[in-house]
Amino acid sequence: MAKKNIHHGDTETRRAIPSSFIFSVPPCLRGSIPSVLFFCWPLILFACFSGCEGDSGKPAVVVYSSLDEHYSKPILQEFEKQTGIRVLDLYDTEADKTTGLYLRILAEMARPRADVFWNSEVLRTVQLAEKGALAVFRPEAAAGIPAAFRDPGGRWTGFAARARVLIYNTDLVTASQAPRSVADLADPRFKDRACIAVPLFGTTATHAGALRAVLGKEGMEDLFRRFKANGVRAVSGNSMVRDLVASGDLALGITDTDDAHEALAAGKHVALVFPDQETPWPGLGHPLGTLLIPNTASLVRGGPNPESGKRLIEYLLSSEVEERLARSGSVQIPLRQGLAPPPGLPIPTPFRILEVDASSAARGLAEAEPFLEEMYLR
Amino acid sequence: VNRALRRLTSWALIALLIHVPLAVLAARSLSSNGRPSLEIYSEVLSARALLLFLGSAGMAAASTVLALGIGTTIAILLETRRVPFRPALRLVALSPLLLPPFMQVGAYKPLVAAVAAHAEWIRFPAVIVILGLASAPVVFFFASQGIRGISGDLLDAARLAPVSERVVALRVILPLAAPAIAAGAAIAFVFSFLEQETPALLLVPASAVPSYSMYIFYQVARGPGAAFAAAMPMILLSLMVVVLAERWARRRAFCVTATENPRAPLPAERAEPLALLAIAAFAALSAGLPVARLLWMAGSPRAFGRALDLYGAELLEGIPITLGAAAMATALAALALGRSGRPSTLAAVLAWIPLAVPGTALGAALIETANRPGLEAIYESRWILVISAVARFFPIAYFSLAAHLRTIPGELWDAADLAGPSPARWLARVYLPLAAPGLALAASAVTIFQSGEVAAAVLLAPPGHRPVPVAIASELHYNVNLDVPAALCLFQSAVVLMMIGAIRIPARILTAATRRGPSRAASGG
Repeated sequence: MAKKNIHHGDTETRRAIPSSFIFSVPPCLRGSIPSVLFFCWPLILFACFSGCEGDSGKPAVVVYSSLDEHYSKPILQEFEKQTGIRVLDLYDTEADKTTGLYLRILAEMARPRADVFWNSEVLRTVQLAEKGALAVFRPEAAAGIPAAFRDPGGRWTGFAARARVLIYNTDLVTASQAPRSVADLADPRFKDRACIAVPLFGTTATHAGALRAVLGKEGMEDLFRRFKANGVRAVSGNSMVRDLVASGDLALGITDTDDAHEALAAGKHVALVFPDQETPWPGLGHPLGTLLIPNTASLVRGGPNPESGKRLIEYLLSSEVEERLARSGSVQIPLRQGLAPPPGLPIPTPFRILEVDASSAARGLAEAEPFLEEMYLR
Repeated sequence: VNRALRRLTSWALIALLIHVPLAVLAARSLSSNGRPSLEIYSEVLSARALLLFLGSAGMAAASTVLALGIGTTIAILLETRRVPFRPALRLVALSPLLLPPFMQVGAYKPLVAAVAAHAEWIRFPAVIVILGLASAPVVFFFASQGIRGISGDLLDAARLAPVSERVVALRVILPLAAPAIAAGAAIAFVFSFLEQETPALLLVPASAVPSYSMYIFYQVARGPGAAFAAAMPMILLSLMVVVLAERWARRRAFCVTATENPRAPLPAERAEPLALLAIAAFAALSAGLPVARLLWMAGSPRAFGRALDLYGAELLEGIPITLGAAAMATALAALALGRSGRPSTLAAVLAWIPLAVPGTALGAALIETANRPGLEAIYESRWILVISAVARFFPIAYFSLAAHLRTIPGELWDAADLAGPSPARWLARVYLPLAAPGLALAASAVTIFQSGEVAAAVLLAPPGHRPVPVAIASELHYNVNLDVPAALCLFQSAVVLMMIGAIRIPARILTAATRRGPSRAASGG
């Protein structure tokens, strides 16, 4: 009985406890509901805010883009303006080694939410195609793109490429001492003064895969072993390569044209070189050439708006977009013949490209991975 | 029985939000090509991966020890000595958490480079020192909470003995606050472990870079199951820290904190200039220097204008998402803990796991569980960001709230029970006023951590939405001059401070009203 009184309380017990002890809340909070609401206001605010997410009812296209938002958003906005199709865009970051959207498309494969994948490189696109995440679509606008940058199976098309270039600090390296080949990173004059991004991620991985495909197992492994022996630092990304060279911490590195151009445009004391244009590569009998890594546009299989997606891909592959990307800060090199190259980029003429198709590079990377893991993950 | 049922229901809800996605990850880590396989774990347990793990764990452990030393010392000095402007100093000590590690490293980089020109070996210890300084606020946060939860009577009794304040700190304060400090140390360890930019930025010799976190990233690219398996050693190690600390404290009968006096420990009579000096030095190193560096990097008011032009809408959009996540994580922590501040070992383990899982892997698991028919309203809206933040930072809310609940004397709950209030009245007029400081603390902690979350946000943000931390990460990559990202960081820090203020004000009102209550009763008022 007593227990019952304690737990449920009776009038006497209630009076025994000073009311001000338990019920001492400000007058404005008297009563349970206002008090609870007072503490739940963040959730209420969020609920109201998310209720404001409107749908204009216009046709839409969902695009996942790993090209930086600075450069891709204006193009998507222009598409929206021209077609009236609402673009719902999503971008990746360097912090995720640009694997975020790739993983998202894979994770969403059972129920895709994206229509178009605009990838700033090609290797992940090839992997998505091999895993069956991309639909076959042969856009008319792809006609002007060289066959080497198109998937024979029609699951992706390349456009506007970045190049893998050498960047060096002009305060530390004179023009006469400037590097000319990726192999120069292994030159004793740059001992402990050069860097690359870890070749297991991003465009550096693509580069490693391409080198494996072109130079073969021995050639590629020998090159990376010489890098290591010469004290070439492995850092976490291409932008860090750029920053370390621009700040003068290191003299030389390999990075992408867009990263290098950012440093040039910011007035840093750096210069960039398109490597392997003149000197024949030992064993090949000709210069290796500079690797071009194209953007790729692909239609996601089973996406919610396939027709809008196809229209967006046609637009992305147009000359207009290649020209815009060439003029933008990302200085992408047009793949179509006859289009003006990016201003301010010292593209040599004639320009020797490292000739390798994307599927071979992807296979090359898969074959090189155990070696690269051994070299860089221990 | 009712209470047990309520607890069970709340844990079921938590499991649905947090542990089901993690179970999906665990299942993926145990299969290969759709068939059961231990292939991924055999790689994780290879000599190469384990050596990498030990190297990174060693560096993280060293920086955690430093963070423990700094954070705990500052907490003891701040909470047990007479120090002016104590609440403001607490905020100052926590302020480095508002800055991304990249920016903090940037503040020390010129100094390290200058010393390294004469002594190259300095780079490795510099990484440990910088990571230790960056993690110290986390330890401080938990140590401060633990110390404030120690019974005032107990401390007074200890001070009656003819021993110095140092002995009181070592023999009484530290053991009593040990569980809270251990939780902080475990979080600091995880953060130091996952940090890969700092060693790279400071050009640590190639043998130390890449770190195990890079290995985890590498596994992320292979698939979320592989990432989960790669994170497993870290999960186990950090769990061990938490569990061992709890067990040690229990065995030594240090759990008296559960029934202590509500009176907070009084500071020692003497104000110590040394204490003030130490706090000032810590504040200058951990907050003053990075903020000054950010201001210097931003350079001109034009950078702030550009940052606002570019990201003003995103800054505003982030507020309800962060606050919603903070409220939800705190509510779940409150449900799971009930009135007890002492979770069982199993509960502590269950609560702890999500923090040690890589954000990208957790994001992929949430896609798998939330991207299905009937859940479009969640997956295709900002709710998914709220849920991801809850799943990721629930442990922080849980342990923060537990630290506060330990300080509430059991007699107060019993006295409230005697009045037999309805559940709604008990919640509004007993639980909320008593737990308000802890709830606010938990919500503030989630707010701080969510404001820097990138990995899961990239994966889960609905198309058309861009979280500010993602924008900062992107700016850091593309903007060589760093003026806009520096300005954006400062804006984001200001927004976080405002959110924390908005969270703490209602809590303060209720706490003040509760404190007025007994004093009025005692004086017959």
